[in-house]
Amino acid sequence: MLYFKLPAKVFEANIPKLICDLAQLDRDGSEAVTLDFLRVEYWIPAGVVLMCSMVKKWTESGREVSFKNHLMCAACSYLQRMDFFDRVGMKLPENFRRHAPGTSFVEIQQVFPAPMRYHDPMVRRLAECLAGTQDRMDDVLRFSEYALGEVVGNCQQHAEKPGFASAQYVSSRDWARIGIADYGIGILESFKKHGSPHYSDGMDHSQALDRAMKPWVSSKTHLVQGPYRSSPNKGIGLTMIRNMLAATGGQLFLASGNAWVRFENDHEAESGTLPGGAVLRGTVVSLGFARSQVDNFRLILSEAQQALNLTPEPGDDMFFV
Amino acid sequence: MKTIFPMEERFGSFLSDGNLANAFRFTEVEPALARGFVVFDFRGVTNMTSSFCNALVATLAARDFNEFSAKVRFSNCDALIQTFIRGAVAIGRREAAEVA
Repeated sequence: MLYFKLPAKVFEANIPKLICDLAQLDRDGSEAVTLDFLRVEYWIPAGVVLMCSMVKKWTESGREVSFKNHLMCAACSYLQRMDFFDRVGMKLPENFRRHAPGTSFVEIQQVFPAPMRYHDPMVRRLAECLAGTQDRMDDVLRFSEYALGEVVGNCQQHAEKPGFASAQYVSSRDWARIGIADYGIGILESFKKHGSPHYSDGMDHSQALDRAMKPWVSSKTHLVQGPYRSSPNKGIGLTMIRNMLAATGGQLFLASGNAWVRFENDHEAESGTLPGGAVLRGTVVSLGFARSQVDNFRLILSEAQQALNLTPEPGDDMFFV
Repeated sequence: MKTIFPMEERFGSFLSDGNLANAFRFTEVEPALARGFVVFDFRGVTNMTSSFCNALVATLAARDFNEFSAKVRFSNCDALIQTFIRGAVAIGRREAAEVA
């Protein structure tokens, strides 16, 4: 029986440590595992959905997973409200009143890997939480919808296993967060499996992650022989999000395999590998931004396009009637 | 002949799914384009993703930019939707030029 004491706090800065610890437990295969929640106080959405994803993976494969001190930890009510226990198949009595949906956080949502599934209602719900409004024309709502639409789409298209998503807004810090995690094939395997020209023998997870962040790169861009004779992917989704977050003082964190990378504001990316040979089976994405910085989504989008040299020509006005 | 596709009616007010856009382009838009003019009506559409826009617009433009320029139009687009479409047209123009 393996035993792991979960950390008190998980933020963007220490999430690689959590990934490493959970990946180490994952490496130990089928041995029963106990997760101790005693110290758990506050985890960002990416940490919660990562743990949800891992526990789901383990229980689906028949691994015995038990929780200890989960009812007495400081975050118990928060995790219950996020439907964490429900999502991993544990029914707990609800001794609290749920907030109206879409206030400061959203219950964990499942992202299905089906080839064509409409996730828009789920994306809308997460975006409304981040923006604090249902006004369809609100800039923060549209920015949030865009970012969520792209990262949920990536998970849906590439993971090949279910993923989990959640969102949260911390009003005291004016900080909105999105977390998505899956226990799918990961970025390196996606390049390899689809015979991408961006894959090369000997490529490691760090190189795959680095490649995935470059514009015009997707594991499926080259697949022009599919049923619709063209790949839906141009390979700019992540780059656009990174550019938009950089322009708004936001953060982007990705981890896949044993590699992670973090972008903060427009600073140089920080990256690393998980120590001890730990390998995450799947992908984790965390995004953060301040509502107050998203003042004009159209301008932010336009600047992100210009950074990719997507410059319209004056004659393009003729397309609009 | 002119075919009008009411986008909100088909996909809702937020157009996000690139796979759906790709299927729509292949099964409905390209046959309509072979018959004549195509207008995408964006009335009621408030937002989209680059994935959706590129899978539909950029791919269509890259396939034959001259035909696209002559026969495809977009109506009732607000400033944001226009920005998405202009970006996708730029991609299509670039890809068409690379093939030529």
